[in-house]
Amino acid sequence: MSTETQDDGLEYNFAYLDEQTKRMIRRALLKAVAVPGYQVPFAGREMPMPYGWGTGGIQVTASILEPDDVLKVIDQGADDTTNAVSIRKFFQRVAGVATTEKTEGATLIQTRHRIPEMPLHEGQILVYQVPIPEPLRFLEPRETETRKMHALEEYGLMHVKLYEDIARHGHIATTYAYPVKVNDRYIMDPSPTPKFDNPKMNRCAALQLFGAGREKRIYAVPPYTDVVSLDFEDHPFEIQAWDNPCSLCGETNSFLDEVIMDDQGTRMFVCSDTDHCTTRQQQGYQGPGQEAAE
Amino acid sequence: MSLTDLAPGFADPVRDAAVSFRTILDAMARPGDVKSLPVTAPVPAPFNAAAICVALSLLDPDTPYWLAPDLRNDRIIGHFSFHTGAPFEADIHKAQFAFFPVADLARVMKDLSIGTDEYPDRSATAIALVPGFDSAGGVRLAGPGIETTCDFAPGGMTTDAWNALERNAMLFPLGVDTIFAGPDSLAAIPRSTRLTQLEA
Repeated sequence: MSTETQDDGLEYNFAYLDEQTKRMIRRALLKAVAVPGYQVPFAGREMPMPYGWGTGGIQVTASILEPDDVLKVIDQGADDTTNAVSIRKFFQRVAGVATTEKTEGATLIQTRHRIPEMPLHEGQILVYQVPIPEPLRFLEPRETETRKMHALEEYGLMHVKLYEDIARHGHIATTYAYPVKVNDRYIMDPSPTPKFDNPKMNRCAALQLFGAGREKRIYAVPPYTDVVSLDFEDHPFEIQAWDNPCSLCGETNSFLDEVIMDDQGTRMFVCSDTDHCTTRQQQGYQGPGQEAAE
Repeated sequence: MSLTDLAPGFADPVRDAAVSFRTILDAMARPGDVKSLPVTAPVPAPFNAAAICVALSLLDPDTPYWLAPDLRNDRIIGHFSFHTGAPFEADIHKAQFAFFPVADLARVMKDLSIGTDEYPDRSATAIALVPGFDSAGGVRLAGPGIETTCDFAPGGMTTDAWNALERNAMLFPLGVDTIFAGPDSLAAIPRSTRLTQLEA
């Protein structure tokens, strides 16, 4: 089966990758699911876009995609930013799959740096684009050492790092890529999602897959798996909170982006998850920004 | 064996491999949940439909596979060689995939590769051919992929076989991941699943 494109007559194998590459990635995915949080090396391919644009996530998506899938792609929560638009177009063209902006209607969601606000359900798979999969990398640059640390479950260094945060700032100052422990065994980088999203990973009903293209690693969190953010008894894990609700939809329980409105320093806070915000506005919810405009 | 003896593989290799893999992935992500096969390909004896689906979707020249003596014949080896290019491996310790009748499970498990501390992914995947999934007794499963618990009772499993899987689970994060392949469905027990045996 292949997908014919309308514009240039070029024909690609379904979902771009050749079949042997897909099988290699598929085998890595099965091992990743069997050992939650462990980084499986894979022979990452060059994709028709630069590293850093989600080549790992794209290879995972291409390997699991089936023709009946409905694909949603988000970049920092938004469906309409460059990275999301180009990846969505890529799969429309090379796989001919249906796409959507609705979280609820998607069977496969590829994401850069956010988890949708709406709880995911069992029929869904969330694919993360990961820049640096190794949570210990900035503490120990040698792969041979970090691999040994994972093998021996030697994670004291990570706690020292969080402790140093407290010593210096009075609180744990890590706000994104906040380390988690998966299934009480491996410490995992949740990709640079804000720590606001960490609790959504815990016992999530959907399968979560992570692809790092440049570093050539795949890892996974199966449904209903314990994902615990590291903390201390006297400094428990906390998520971000905002003083004001979303200016557009009035939501008080979502991750907000700060938008500069003019050169006088006027700011507005809006939901980072565009589908969540739009859906709420359609349901009649209004934020302070909307009321002021009327 | 001549070319005319060969049975066909997947009718639409790209699509059929994609939907088969999603079923296998779903089974591995939700241990003990029995999944119907989305497609079937012709089955050379003495294999069954799910085992053929797994083989055609996952094997290729990079994956040496092992066959139990009861499943080993020129027709199967020729079938896999033609459709996947995978090399047959007579030494079970070196195999990445092992296919065997469920009756052999206890014996086979102790010979399969369980990976290394630094690379637990370098372990074998076991494919046990079972007659079905509605046997009495069985096990209660818990762990990643299972919301609370899940009862699982594939046919042909003995106490010895369940003991072998319990020992395998204790090796986590090392260990073998097992796919139970039936005539029209499949299920999986990865190494991360905890088992409790139930009275028959």
